[in-house]
Amino acid sequence: MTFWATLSINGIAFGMLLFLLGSGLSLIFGVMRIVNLAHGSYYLLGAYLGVTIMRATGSFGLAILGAMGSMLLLGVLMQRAFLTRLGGNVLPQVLLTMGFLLILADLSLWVWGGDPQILPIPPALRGSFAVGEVIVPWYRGFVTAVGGGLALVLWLLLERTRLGAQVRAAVDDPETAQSMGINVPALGTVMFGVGAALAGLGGVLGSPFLGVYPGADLDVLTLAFAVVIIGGLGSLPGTLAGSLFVGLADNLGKALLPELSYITFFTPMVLILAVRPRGLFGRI
Amino acid sequence: MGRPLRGAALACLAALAVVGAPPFFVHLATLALIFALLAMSLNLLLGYTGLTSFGHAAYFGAGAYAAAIVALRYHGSFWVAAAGGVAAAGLLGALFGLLATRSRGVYFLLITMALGQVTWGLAYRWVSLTGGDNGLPGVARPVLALGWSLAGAREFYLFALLIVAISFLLLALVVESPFGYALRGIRESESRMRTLGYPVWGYKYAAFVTAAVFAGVAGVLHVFLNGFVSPSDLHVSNSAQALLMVILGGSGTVGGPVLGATALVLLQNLLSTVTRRWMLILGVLYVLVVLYAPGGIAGLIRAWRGRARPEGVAARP
Amino acid sequence: MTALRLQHVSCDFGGLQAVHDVSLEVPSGMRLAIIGPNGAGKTTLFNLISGELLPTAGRIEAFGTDITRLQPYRRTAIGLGRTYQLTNLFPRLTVLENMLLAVQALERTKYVALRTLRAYPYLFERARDLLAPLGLWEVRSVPVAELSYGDQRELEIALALGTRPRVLLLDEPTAGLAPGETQGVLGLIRDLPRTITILLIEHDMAVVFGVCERIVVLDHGEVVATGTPDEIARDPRVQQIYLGTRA
Repeated sequence: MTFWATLSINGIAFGMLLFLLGSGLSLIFGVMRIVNLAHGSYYLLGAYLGVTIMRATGSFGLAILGAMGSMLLLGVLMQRAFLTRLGGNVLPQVLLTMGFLLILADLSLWVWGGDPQILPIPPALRGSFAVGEVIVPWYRGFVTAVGGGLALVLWLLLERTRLGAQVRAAVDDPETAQSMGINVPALGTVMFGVGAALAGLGGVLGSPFLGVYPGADLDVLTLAFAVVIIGGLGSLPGTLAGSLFVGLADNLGKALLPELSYITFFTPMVLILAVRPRGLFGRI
Repeated sequence: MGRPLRGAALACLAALAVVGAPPFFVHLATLALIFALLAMSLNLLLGYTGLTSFGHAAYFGAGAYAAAIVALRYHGSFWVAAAGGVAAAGLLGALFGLLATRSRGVYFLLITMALGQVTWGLAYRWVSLTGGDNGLPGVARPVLALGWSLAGAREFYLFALLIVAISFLLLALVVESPFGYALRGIRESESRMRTLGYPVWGYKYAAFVTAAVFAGVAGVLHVFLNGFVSPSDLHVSNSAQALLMVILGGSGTVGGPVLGATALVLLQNLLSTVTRRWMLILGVLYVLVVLYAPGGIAGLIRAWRGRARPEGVAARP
Repeated sequence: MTALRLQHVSCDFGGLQAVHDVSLEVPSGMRLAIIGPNGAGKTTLFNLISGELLPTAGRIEAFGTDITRLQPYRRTAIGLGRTYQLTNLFPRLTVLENMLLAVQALERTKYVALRTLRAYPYLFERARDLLAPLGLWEVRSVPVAELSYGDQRELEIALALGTRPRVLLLDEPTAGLAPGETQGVLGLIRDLPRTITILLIEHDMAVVFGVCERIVVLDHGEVVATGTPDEIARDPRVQQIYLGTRA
């Protein structure tokens, strides 16, 4: 029983982390209909920056703020200065983001070198507490709380605010939304910034789990892709469902079928693609 | 038509290029040929059918692994191993094509990436078959008919040149055929093709499998060049690299990807001796191409010669 | 001989009935106009006939063959052809290449992969036969994206004619055209032989009255009136739809 509980806790924590990554990707696609291939790069840079700030200041909070803030700027810059030059054409924009993937990967390599970096868990979050017989590491609980909290905040923003209503309209039908006076391009910039910031946050929070090393951008991008494919692009509940599914499936898979562990969540993904190409909750 | 003549002249030039050249250069040239073939195969999907695949390395890898397994485990001769490699790539393409071609645009990109990663995962984990992370080393250079050994760099290069040249001609023929033009029509407007009377899905599927087969040929050549195959040959970064070559070289022509592959191999190997930031330079070059020269290097050459045509998938219609 | 028959065709978009219980009989050779306010379901009806949309109820027959659930390309083989309200051509291909694709669409040649297109001169001749009368042969090497809008609309129809349709669906062929260009398209349509049955969606009443012998009026996805042009012009319900407000 404890075995399953521990697995579930780890799976959910991992899932929440994936939600931070997947939500940005999903929202960007929802409003702009493009897949940002540099999304994993925000994770990577956020993580590296987090490590550096942590080493320099010893403050986890500053690391988080610094990572999120700089990624927000980077996302906005990328979108405003480059993607908008390609008009509304989807494919060239996606191809352009691939260029940024390469550039940011090499820049990180240049600045931080090829060795894997470790972000130490801040002392306040080390150790664990017990729930009955189950031992829950504080850090995992923290990540779960942050992820869950952000999911709630995002949901509230989307469902209860005017901005959220505009985003939802743009996701449903960008052309009609534009003709109704909604500034869709501006929303796109906001989504890029928010998505990048979330991915940067994921980088700082996730590095104890996933590590940060050259190539992590692609590894993380792959996971984020799996999440949005399963959950469906453009849908926040879908992303949450997809994240939890991938998080749990991956943990269960690693524990029960280590030989095939990489396959455990890709197989359901392929099955879903075969049966429902739009994902579980996909609306576009 | 001056085209076949020009092509033959280029091939002869390419053959002569290795006379007196150091083995390192010949090795690079062979690599350029192999990647040119991979890029050309991807271009059939991307440039001509309008399908952006982000998992094309899967078929390259499948060809390499199958050929290696036949050669090492079953002691098959070169041609048997090669046939096995190409067949494996084609079968994988036929299987994955059923899943992938149901989508288009961004979904197609995601699905092909996912399928590519599944293949990578299999290569990584199915240790008994693929050797896992260690890969499969020890694939020997073949001796072909009449005692022609491909052990030497020059000999293998000429053989690769022959294979790639034949593939180039076949692909050039396909894209200029009625079938090829139908693919272009599908790229421009699937709905119009449907109501004109074309079975669009069948065309996309055929293009997908064909592209996989040629990628498999490239994979076979690669494993015999290096004597080695490993999961990194299948990794998404390899698929990204193939995409890079096509866009850089120009997706509007059959020859464009050849230029892109050559550029990549040169940048990767020669530039890296000068600076460690060759990947950064490549990335910046690529971004500049996507923004300002959507027809790639081939497009720039055409424009310079006065034949400006809005081809190339990165071009805005 | 009935070219096209629709029986109680409906199309439901999860609560929104785009087309509701539409029945139609179009005898061979007729020129039928489908008119109605925006959003009445006219293009949806065309999409149902062409097969790009499947009905949720009803039956569609062409020349006696049940085509209700047939794929679009099979309907074209039976003799259906259509044009689009929003120009739907192949923008980066030349005028000639566009036409060649249309002309080879129902030929076995379209499957050939190992001979070049130039090996089939008869396709080029047929393309020329269709392009020349419209003055589009001179611009055959121009990419379609660079054509004038008027030329694009004419090519739009020429492409549909390339498959030798027996039933031609024209979706607002004169949309956005200047008066001179409209006359050109009107002449084009009037010159089409009676072997082709024509269904025409139009807002320009001059074109409707100049071409069609029968009119069907759609509103909110339903047929509200059918009749000759004179009958429809005098029908009070039709006047109310176009001029008055509806509850």
